[in-house]
Amino acid sequence: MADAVLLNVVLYLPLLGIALIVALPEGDDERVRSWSFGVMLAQFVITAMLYLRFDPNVAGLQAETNLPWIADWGVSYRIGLDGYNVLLVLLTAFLGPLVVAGAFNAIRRDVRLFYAMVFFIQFAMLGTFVAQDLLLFYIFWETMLIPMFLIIGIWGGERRIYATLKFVLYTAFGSILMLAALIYLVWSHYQATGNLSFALADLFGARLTLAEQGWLLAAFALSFAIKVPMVPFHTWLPDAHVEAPTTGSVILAGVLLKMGTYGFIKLGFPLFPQAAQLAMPAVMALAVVSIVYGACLALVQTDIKKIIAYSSISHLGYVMLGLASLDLIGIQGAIIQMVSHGLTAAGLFLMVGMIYERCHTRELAAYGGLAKALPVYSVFFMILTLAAIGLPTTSGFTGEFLVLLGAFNAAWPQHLAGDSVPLVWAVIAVSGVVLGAMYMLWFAQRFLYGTTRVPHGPVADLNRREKLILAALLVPVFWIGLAPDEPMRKTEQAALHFQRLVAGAQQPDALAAAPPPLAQRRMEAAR
Amino acid sequence: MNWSVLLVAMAPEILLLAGLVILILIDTFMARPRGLLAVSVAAVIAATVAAAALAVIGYAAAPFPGHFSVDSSAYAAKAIVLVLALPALLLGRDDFRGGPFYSLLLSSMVGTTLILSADSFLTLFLGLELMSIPVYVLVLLAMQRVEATEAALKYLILGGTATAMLLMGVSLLFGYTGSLSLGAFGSLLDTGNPMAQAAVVLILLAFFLKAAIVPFHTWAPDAYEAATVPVTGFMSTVIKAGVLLAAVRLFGVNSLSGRLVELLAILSLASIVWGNLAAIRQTSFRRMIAYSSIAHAGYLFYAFLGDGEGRFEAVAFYALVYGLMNMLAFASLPAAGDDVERDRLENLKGYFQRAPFAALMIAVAMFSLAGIPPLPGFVAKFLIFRNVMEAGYTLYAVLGLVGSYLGIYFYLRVLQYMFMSPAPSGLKPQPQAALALGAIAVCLVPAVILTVYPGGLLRGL
Amino acid sequence: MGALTWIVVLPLLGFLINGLAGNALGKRFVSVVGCGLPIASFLIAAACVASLLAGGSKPLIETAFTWAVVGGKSFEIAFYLDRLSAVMVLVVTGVGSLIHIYSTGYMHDDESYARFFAYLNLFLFFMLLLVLGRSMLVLFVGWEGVGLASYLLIGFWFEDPEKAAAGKKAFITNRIGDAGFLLGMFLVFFAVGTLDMDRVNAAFAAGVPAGVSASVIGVLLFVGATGKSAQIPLHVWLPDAMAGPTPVSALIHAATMVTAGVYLVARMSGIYVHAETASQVVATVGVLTAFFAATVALVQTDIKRVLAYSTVSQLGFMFLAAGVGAYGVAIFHVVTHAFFKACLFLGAGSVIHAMSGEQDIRRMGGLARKIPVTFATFAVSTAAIAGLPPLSGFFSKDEILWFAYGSVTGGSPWLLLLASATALLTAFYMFRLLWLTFFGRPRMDEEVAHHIHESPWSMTGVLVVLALLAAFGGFFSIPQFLEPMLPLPAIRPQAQSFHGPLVWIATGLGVGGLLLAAYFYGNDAVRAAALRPGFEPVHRLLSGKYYIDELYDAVLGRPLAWISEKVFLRIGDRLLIDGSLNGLAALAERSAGRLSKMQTGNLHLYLFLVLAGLVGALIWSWRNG
Repeated sequence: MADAVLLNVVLYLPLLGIALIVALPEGDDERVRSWSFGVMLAQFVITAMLYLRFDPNVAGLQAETNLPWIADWGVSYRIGLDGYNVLLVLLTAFLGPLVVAGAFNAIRRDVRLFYAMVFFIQFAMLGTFVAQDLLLFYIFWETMLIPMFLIIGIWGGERRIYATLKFVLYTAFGSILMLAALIYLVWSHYQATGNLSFALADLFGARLTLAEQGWLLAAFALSFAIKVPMVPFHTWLPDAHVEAPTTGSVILAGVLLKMGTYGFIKLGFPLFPQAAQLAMPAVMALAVVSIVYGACLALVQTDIKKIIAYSSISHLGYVMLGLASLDLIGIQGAIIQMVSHGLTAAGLFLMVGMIYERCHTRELAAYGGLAKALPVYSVFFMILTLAAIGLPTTSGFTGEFLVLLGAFNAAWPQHLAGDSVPLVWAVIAVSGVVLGAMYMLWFAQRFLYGTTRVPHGPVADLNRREKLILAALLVPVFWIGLAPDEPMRKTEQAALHFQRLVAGAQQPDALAAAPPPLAQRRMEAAR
Repeated sequence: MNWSVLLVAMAPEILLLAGLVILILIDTFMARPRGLLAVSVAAVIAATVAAAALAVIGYAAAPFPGHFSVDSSAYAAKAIVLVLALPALLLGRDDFRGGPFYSLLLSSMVGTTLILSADSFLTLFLGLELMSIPVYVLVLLAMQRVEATEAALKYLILGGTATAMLLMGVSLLFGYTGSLSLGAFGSLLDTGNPMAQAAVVLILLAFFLKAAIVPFHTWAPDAYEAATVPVTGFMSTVIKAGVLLAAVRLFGVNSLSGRLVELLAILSLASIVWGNLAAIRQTSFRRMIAYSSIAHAGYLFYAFLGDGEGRFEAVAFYALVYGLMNMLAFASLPAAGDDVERDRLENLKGYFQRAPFAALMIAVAMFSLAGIPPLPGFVAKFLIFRNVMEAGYTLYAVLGLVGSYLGIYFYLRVLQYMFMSPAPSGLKPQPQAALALGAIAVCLVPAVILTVYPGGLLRGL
Repeated sequence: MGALTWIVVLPLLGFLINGLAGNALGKRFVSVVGCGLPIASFLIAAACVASLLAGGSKPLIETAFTWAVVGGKSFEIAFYLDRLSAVMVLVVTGVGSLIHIYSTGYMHDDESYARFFAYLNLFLFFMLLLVLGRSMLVLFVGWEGVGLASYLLIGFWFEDPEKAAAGKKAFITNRIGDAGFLLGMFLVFFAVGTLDMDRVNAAFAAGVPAGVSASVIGVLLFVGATGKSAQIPLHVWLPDAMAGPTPVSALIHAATMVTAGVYLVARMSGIYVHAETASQVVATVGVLTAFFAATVALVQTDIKRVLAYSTVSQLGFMFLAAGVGAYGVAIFHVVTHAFFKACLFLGAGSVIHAMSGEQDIRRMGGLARKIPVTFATFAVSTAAIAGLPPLSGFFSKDEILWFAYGSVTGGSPWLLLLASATALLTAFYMFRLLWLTFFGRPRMDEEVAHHIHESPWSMTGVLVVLALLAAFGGFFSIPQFLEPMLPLPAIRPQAQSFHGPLVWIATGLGVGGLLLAAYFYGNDAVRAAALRPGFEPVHRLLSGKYYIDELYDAVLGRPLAWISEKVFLRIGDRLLIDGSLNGLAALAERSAGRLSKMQTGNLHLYLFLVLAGLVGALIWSWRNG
């Protein structure tokens, strides 16, 4: 009970934050910043408490709140923590203060609106993670568009309008189809069982024909795949990242992209298990294509932010690969990889922001030999880079290693059974490790080594605030790298649940008893 | 005839009429009329409260059996249109010094409330005309620009054709059934008989025209642009809501089938797509809203694909939310002197810098009209498409949703102007007029409530 | 924390201390920490080995903590000490400590002194993880970790883009190998369900598990080994790695890290004994690499590059031994090689130090008298690597040749032939190096010649110790020591009688190389110069290292960039995806324009539309069906 209250507090603190900074007098930016930071910090502390109190051995929801909301349609205000979201909630709350602190210098225009929007998106993201009701999830999911649209559009770079419209229209299209699909899902479930409910727990039991599952999965998957993003739905990401202000990029890379993968693991696959099973080869293929494609494109970028943007595409490919493997190790790895990418990508974008504040260019060619000019900066940058390419002892390794191990573990028996395609994908994915090293080290070499070139230099090395931000960021990076046991225990139940729902589902023959499609039923009723 | 029943049952209409009478008296007998606004606002509020109260207690009666009856949903409908009239009134003063505006608005409201409890086509026809004619005049009265006359004329003529279609349909219906009750209409819906079909179609099209469904929408953009803010607001919210709610009453709980479904779906879909696309290129705010309202008329008629039971709930909720948001946007527009100036979209550039609060209000309205959560516009849209989906018209639902996707862009463009573009030089921040703030409040408070707890109202409907 | 853990952790502490606070602490302190901790872990290691042997060589196992548990399968961070890891850990900590000491002298004037020792300790930490890890996971952590350390140390002087690039090349080439390693590891995990190598070996001892083939695993792991130990085709990084400071070349790129691949094969011998094909691959690649590298070494003129190629060649020898099943012998050569090659590199370092940075042997000569200690130690080590009895190299190399020919598991005449040829070449180019560097007429300019001076004791002392080891290291016979766990293969019957003669052949090869070198490069290499014109094309090919770098760039590097740029970016992203999307947007815009144009304001048009709609609707509703 107490936990439930705490979770609600965590969820609504951002709104309180908005109220606070709106109450502040116009122009008192310093106070706006410090108060925002305070609220975010409080939120993180409470979330951390919740995390510690989270019992890894309980399968179901914890800290659950369940109130009727739109009772007539079976929509309830139902939030809670489970293995799926506990780490991501912690990640979101953890990045909050860092994001706020990271923007202290960068944002000078409309400061109050800016932090209000940061709080707003924080609220929406947390809501999306903790929502246990399909409509509630969708509402939070869509809500994220509003603050992001403004953050990119108001504080972004030259082509910000194009970028932000592209972002919104891209994602909104996916969501529209998802909306149609979820309505169909709920009402066919209602027709079949007479139980009108949007609660995920109920919908997992929905019995649909394979054809229906296929269509619905396609709709959900499209909107998730756009958010991830998976190739070929990724072209919004580079533009959004490049044009977004640092904060925007950090939020995007840190949390927003996880929405897609989270959607897949929490909803997409478990809701339509049979179809998901059949789709897995395609998903795996797309995942691996994303890994390689993203890496290759990162290799030829000239804009620092674009390099990291494309690397994100590649790294999230690993997440999808882990999920598609349906192997427990792979699934666990995927979850860890989500968090790990959230940390490293966020860190790298923060660091790009820091250098951009000093040198005012993102052209890689303009830089060189920063290791000499900015030693501290370079050390942090190097560590994050290595974490990003999955060097052992960092979080990146834990994620990649488990994902690849899982993928291989799943692929080899199929290979023995005569289907070598998954094995081929797994092997290609492993080769992605090499590509990762190639582009990141190429980047680091141009950036940090060689003869020193600092635009608008000489510039000061990191100040105390920046050092603290990055140091804080490195703690979980090494924690997950050196001792992932503890966090993985918290997620294991969820991984098992996912595996049981998706891999365990019987194929259609067992579905013979499933009711006919909704539309058809209605037609009959009409006659 | 039981007078007490009559008094209670027709309380909203009576209150409006009372207000109307007082207005006319003031206008005629006072040298410099004053207090017009106060009177009309008081009348509308009183009527609203009465309607809402009666709806809540679930009062039902038939003072004129076969012609005029009321029940809780009728009252709810009336309450909705009346609430929406309030901001229009508040906004009116700056544009219309003098009486006619208020009296016309009130008489139009009487018509609107009348059709919402019509049981026979006589009442319906009476109400529709009583609702429409003052609006023709209102458009004309907004003599701030030359096009006003022309637009009003077009509106009048096309409105006339609507009336003609309605009468034609009704006469066919009478010929076929020998009755003028709305119930008869419901019974015709699934007879294969061509004459009956024709009757139904003609009546339906009359409503389409009033609600500006493609291809009967052409009057809307011109009229909306020509009229001034309060009138446009009134037309796009109250009239539309009235027409749609009347249509719900007309169709009753009968679910459509066959050709009628196709007709309804295709034309609604056409107006969704047409409206959303055509709005992209507009440079006048009201013209843009006109196209957006064409699209929204499409959504509203989509609701008729759904089952009879859910129909009223869906339409009422949607009309209310849509109206509130439209009014919110109108009320938050910069109060520039020249009407043409004020209407230019360009004029909104950098609006956030000049008037942050108003800009945020418009932003809320736009996101809501675009149907993006968590704003109530989403719940409303969800409700409609849920019904369509539930009725088994999956394909139509998906197409409609995709059509609604087309609409997002031009709403975002407004935000882009307000937040992301530098203000054109020579514009100073000017505070919102007190009345405008009042109107904003009238729209905002219910909107917030509907955002946080839509369940409440939905259970009521 | 147990003793084994301490062995590993101490260098890490050194890294943290020097890395975080080094510059503040001052050189003296840095040196104490940087050398003291490795020495400490050497002593602990020695103690552990002693207790191991006392305990009847029952392996010591120490579990530090559980890394993760997934689905009941737990990945544990545990350390494992048996005779094999005992040998390795002693070499690593021992030679490592010596080289640390040497570095205090060699790097004395470098501004990033603390950073250097931090990296060196970091390397030691990962290397000890590698050799002491019980699970392949821990081994892999060390495996990639040493790669990182070498990346950082090769690019230690990063202002020079060349050097930074060399570091990158090393890391990426290693990553390619690691990909193979990973796959092998996955397959093992699939087969056995654990990554603890003792368990894996035990499982394979009971027969190859169902569903996997030992050879596939063997080859995949060997791919990893080729990366780390610079075997064909992944050898390209090692010569460039000489960009790093010389102690680094000695420690990482000669004595310890590069031998990790051999250690891996020996450690996984339980799998390789079942993997005939894989073993053949190992032996073949090994001997070919040995020969190929030796030929390249013939013509190199950079003192460190000669040594680098000789390292590649010697590693080839080790893999040859492992490939024919003589794992103990391979490790034997690892040890002796660690001694003499470290000594050679450090000697080279001392030479470079004396020559104030000059590395080209064409501008050396006649140094023997000027830097006697360096010369003496260098000469001893050269003799050792050339395989002159009774020096350490002789014993190990002789045994390799013997098993290459005699082993029942894959030994064959042609292996012997190539190996012997390589041995001859080795002796030749090593003595060539010796001659050109230390004998003949000085060829450096006055300026440099004037500055030549013997190195400080911290360097020469280390040289002497290593030289002694290189000389007598052959007398503790590692193969016998490892026999209990790594039994040597049986000898083919027809080869039985051949051991006696082979000893003489081996000796002969060494001496032959010496004489040839003396003949060609004696009195200022006039004969070599005379010989040169005849062999111009060969010489170009060799000094071009068979143009393999260029080949890779043409076949892999450029195509990758091209596809990424032209196909993926231009066609994929910009043309297909964004192109079509922007197309749709434009379409919407256009139709928007059309629709709003229909709103002409013309009443007739409006009425027409209404009528059309009316009629159309009626007709539609009348359509029966």
